[in-house]
Amino acid sequence: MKYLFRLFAFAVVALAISGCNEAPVPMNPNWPIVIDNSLQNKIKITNSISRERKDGLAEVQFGVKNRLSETNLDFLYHVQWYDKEGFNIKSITDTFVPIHLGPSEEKVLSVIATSPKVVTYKIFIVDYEKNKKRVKNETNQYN
Amino acid sequence: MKLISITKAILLSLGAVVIFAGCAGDQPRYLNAGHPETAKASTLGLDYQDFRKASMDAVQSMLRSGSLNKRGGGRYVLAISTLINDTTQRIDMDQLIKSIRISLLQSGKVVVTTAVRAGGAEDTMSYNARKLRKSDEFNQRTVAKKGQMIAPDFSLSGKIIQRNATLSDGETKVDYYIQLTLTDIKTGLAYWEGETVISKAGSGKSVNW
Repeated sequence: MKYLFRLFAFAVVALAISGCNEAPVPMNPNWPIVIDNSLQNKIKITNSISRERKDGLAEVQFGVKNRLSETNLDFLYHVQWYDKEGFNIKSITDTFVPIHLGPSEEKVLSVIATSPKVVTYKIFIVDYEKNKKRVKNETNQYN
Repeated sequence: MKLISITKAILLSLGAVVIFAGCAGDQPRYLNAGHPETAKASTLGLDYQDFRKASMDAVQSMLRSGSLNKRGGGRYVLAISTLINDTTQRIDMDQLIKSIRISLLQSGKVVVTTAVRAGGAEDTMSYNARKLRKSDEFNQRTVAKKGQMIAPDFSLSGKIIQRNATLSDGETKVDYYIQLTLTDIKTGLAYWEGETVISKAGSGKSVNW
């Protein structure tokens, strides 16, 4: 009887702890990062995690490292958000963001979805010089 | 005679090259840390792209801070307060604020009131429609009753500051500070503040005031 009571108490405590914890559960088990071919050997994704925040918004964090030890690296990144049916959710503030990395430099980038309907995402990393016009085109898509 | 025309052609070509090279050098560029060193700017003034970046930074920072997370869920009511343009340019501050409003509305955390705004209601129709209360022409059950408007919880105010400096090579450096504050109206306390700095450099001639 005593043993059963202890087991029950342990189960209750374990349940309570797991309920309080906001564990970073990946929204998409696949590696949802698309990197431009020309950057494949220049950039390294050091970590990619995502979670659903307590307020219901999705958050993505990923690290980028310049593999080149003597050259600067410029690129653009953009996060596309999708709802549970796979439809793209656009936000007026979504845009291609320019990033500058010095030789061997590493940065951690993080983005919060602006819609609670988001369940998954894709990150696009493209070459700056080839795509710099896209910054303007993407930001004008709502006009 | 032929030699003179060839010389003329060479001189003309050289002139054209010098002129176009001069134009290319006048192209303003960004000096921000995040921007690539070669990033060209359309103008030394603030443009659409700059407003988009500032609003994206503001929305991300506001959502990250959690100051818009209402206890028990639901939305806060936001009023737009004073927006000061302390630059030499003529800027419609709604350009900046609108995309922030749209994003926050989409996030499900905020709904913006157009009935209250610093300097008067943004949409006066809420008040005009109430003038129909005594009109026999309107079904009074369809006219807004007293005490139905919702007062704002927060106000969003802001300022854009411009600072000019001359660089050693004679170029003009322009820094823009886009500052926003979210104030809890009940307490007067600023729950969130954000600043985006946009720095550009270029020839002073390329500025369109």
